Amino acid sequence: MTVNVYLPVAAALLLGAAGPALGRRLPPAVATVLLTAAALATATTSLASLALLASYAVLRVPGIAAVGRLSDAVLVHGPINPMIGTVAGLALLALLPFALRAGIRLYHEAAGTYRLAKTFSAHPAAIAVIHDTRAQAFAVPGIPPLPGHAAIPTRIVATDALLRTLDGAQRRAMFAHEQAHLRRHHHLFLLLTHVAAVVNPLLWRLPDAVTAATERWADEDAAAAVGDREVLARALGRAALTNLPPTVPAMAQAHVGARVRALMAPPPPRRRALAAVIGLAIAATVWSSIDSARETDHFFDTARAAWHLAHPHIPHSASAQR
Amino acid sequence: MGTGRRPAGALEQEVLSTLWASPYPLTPSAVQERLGDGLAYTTVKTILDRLHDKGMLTRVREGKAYAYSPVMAQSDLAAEAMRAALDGSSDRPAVLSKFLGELSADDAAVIRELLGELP
Repeated sequence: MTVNVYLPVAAALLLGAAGPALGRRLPPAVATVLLTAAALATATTSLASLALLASYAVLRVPGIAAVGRLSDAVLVHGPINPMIGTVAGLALLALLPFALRAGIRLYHEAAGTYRLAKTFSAHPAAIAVIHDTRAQAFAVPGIPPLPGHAAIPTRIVATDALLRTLDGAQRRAMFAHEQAHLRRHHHLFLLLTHVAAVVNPLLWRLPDAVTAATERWADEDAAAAVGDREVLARALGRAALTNLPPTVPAMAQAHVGARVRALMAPPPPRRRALAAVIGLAIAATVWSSIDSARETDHFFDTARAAWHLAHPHIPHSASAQR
Repeated sequence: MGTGRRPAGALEQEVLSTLWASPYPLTPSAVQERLGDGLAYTTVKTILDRLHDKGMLTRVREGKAYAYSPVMAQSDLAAEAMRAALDGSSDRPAVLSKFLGELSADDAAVIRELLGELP
């Protein structure tokens, strides 16, 4: 138990630090799926672990244990040092403002994308062209028909500046890239990773890492679809250079240079061993979380039973009976 | 390029983007020529008619045929939504996948070196 409860926290720290580098080493499709799965698994389990650790400290506060009908005598000999529990509780409190901020931001951006999808759903064709001097295109995700909600079709939006910049083959590659985003449901991976970063803000670097992986994935898909890696590299390069001079933020996220370089090189290696190791690590994290939850449940059962032994006149409450 | 067969939506997309890339209206045969791939004239003409019926193209008489040009994507709403997507906070978008991210000075140098003759 004492190891298992810390493992998800360690996994989240490790993923938060090494996730972007792992994403660059893996082939993009594998990177997207594994990083998203790892983010969700470590975000939820690390939060559960911190809450679990904190609960040991909270129950040592005089009077609280009695409210929960738990035996103090048993809790004193609990498997978790109350100091560690206190640190975990403080960590949870410290993460809360970051989680709130990320949550509010995600809500606004998701709502913005939804409005965009709804606006463009009225457009009569799968591609919409709008007038803008910047060369840019994006894939607007759709929504399948749901009860009480009409379906929203997917759309590809491009600026006239981009279409004029590219030649025929390059345009075809660009559309193949955008279609790959839609066909592979990249927006869902991005949404899930952002949710994971809201749940545990230690994973704040993961959304950018998954964004980069989905861009590379769409690049590889498009290169395969048009049967030529270089044509997409040229499309990207030419369009990017026409947008110069840029307003360069300190940290550019989607690394056009890296994407062009990857397309000018042979297809990426598979790295099956690395992928398998990460898959196993995700499984181990989930297992250790379940195991530590089970042991904690067992420990509190013992504490509850001991409390009832010490208070034989008070009947077991319905919820405490098993 | 060209294995010939493509899904219908993709063809419509290419016809549209061909028209968009042209500085002047194009006749069906001009579109056919630009697309290459040995597409039948009637196929191109059918797509152009369909797009025109949807209100996505305008056409002017040019000799015996019509020459088509694309209509800008429409409502102020769409344009506004689009600009919101292009601007501001969306250099780090949550779920919207953009073709191009921001370009750093290093990126520009890398691209110029890799692609050689680009401007």
